[in-house]
Amino acid sequence: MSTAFSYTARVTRADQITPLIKHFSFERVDGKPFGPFSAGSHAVIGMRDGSESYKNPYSLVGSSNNFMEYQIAVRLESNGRGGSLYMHNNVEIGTELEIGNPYNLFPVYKPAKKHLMLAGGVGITPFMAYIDEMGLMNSNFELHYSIRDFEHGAFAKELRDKYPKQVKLYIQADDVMANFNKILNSQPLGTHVYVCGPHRMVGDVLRIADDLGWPTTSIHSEEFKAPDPGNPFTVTLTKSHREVNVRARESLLEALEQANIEIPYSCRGGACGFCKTEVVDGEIDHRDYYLTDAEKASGKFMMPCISRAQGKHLTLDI
Amino acid sequence: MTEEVPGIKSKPVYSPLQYDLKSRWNLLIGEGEGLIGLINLLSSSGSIRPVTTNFMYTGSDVEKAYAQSYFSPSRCNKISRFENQDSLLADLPQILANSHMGLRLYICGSETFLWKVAGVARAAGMHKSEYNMQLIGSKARRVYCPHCEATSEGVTTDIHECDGCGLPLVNCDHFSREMGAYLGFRVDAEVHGEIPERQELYR
Repeated sequence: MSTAFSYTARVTRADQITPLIKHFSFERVDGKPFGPFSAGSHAVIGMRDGSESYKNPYSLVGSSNNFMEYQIAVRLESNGRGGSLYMHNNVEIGTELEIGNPYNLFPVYKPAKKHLMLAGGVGITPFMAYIDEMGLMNSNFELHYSIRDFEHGAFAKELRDKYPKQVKLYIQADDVMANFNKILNSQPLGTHVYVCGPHRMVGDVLRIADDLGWPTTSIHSEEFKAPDPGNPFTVTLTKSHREVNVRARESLLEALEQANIEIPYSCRGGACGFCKTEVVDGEIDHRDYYLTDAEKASGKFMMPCISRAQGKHLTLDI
Repeated sequence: MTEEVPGIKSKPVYSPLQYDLKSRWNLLIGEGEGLIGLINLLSSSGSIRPVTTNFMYTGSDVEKAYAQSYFSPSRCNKISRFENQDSLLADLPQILANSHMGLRLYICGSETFLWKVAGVARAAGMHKSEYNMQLIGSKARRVYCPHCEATSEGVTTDIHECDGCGLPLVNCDHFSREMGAYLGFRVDAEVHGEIPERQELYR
C-alpha cells in the first residue's frame, strides 16, 4: 500500500510480442535490486505524459527469484484512458518510469495438491510468475490458455514448448474453445483453480466451479477493471475544507491526486480495499468488488478508484 | 459441524451432521455408535441430486447388522466394513487420492476418531468446508505433551501421566486441529511433586 512510488526505473526491454501486447523489463536507475514479490503480484506503473499522469496496475510477469528486474506485459486498450496507449507509443528502451511496491491480491495457495490455471487473453500475465515458481518447485500444475489466434497469444509458444504436458492452448480462430465444465468436472481432490481473463470467462468459471461442488476457498480469480468514465461531479471534503471537480474521463481518486490529496491505494481497480473512503452525503454509484452489499447499501463508504457519484455531488470525510 | 465457543476459542463444539447440497460424491465414515449420526443424515437428506454415496465404517457385529439394514444398496453404492480404526485410516489416503473435487466427507464417531479422519482429509488437501463431523461416542482425549512431544491417547481424567515422558500433565481445553489433540502441560511445573487429586472428566 502506498501513496508514493518506491522506485524510479529504466526500461531495458520493450518488445512487441503480439500485435496488441508489449513486453517491458525494468531495472532500477540506482542499480540496486528491487524488493521481493510473490507470484501473482501487481505493481502500479506511474507515467507522465505532458500534463496528464497515469497510474496503471500491471501483473509482474518475470521471475519472482530475479530481484534485478521487474517485467510487465501491457495490452493496448485503444478505447482506454490513455495509459496503455502511452506505454505502447512513448515508452522505449531507456525511458524512465515510476514503479510502486508490488502487492498481491492473487497469491498461489502453496499447500494445494494441484494448481489449475485458466487464462484468457492478457489474463495470462499473473500466471507467468506462477509457472516460473511452480516449475522451480516441481509443483503439479496445468494451464488452460484461451487465445484469439496463435499470433495474439502472448507467451503461448514459449509456454507450450517448455511445458508441453501441462499447457493446453485453445485457439478461437481454429474453433477450439475451452470447455470449463469438462475441465473442472474431474479434477483430483485438493486442486485449487485460478482464473484470470475477460469478465465473462471469470464469471463462467466461478459459476461452474461452485455448481460442481468446489469449495469457495479453492477458487481464486482476478480481473483488472479500469475505471469507466461517467458524468462529471463535484466532491466536498469536510476535513481538508476543499472542493474538487471530477471530470468525465478521470476517476475520483485521480482527481483527488491531481488536487494533491493523497489517499492510500494499491490496485486502482476496485478490488484491494486500500482506498476505502467514508462518505458523509450524496448518492454513490458503486462499481467495486470490495465492499459488501451491506456496506454499499449503507451509503457510508465508497472506493474512489473506481466508483463515482450517482448525481452531481458527494461529501467525503477526508 | 464444528464451531468455536466463547472463552476457549479452540475447543470444538459439535452439532448434528448437515447435508451439503453442493456435494457430488458423499463419503460417509463412521465408527461404533457414530453410525446413528450417519443414518440420521441419510434419512434427512432425501434424494436431492444423483450423487454417489460410499460408506466406510468400523464397529461391532451388532453395529454391522444395523449398518446392513440401513445402508442398503439403494442408499449406498458401496459399503466397506473395517476390522478397526487403524485399518480404516490406513485405506483412507488412497481412497481420497483417487477422489475428485466435489467430494464431501461426513464423519461420525468418537472425538479421537473424528480428528484422525480429519487429519487424513487435510493431508489430502481438503478444506474444513469439505468435511462435516459429529461427535457420538467417547469423549476420551488425545493429549499432546509439549515437554516431550508425545501424544497420549484415551485420556479421561484432568491429570494423567504422559505416555512419553511420564510427567504428570494437566490437560486443558486448548485444542489443535492440526494435531487433533488437546494441549497438556506439567501440573507441578511450579512446585515439583505438588500434584492435586485427579478427577474423571470424560468417558
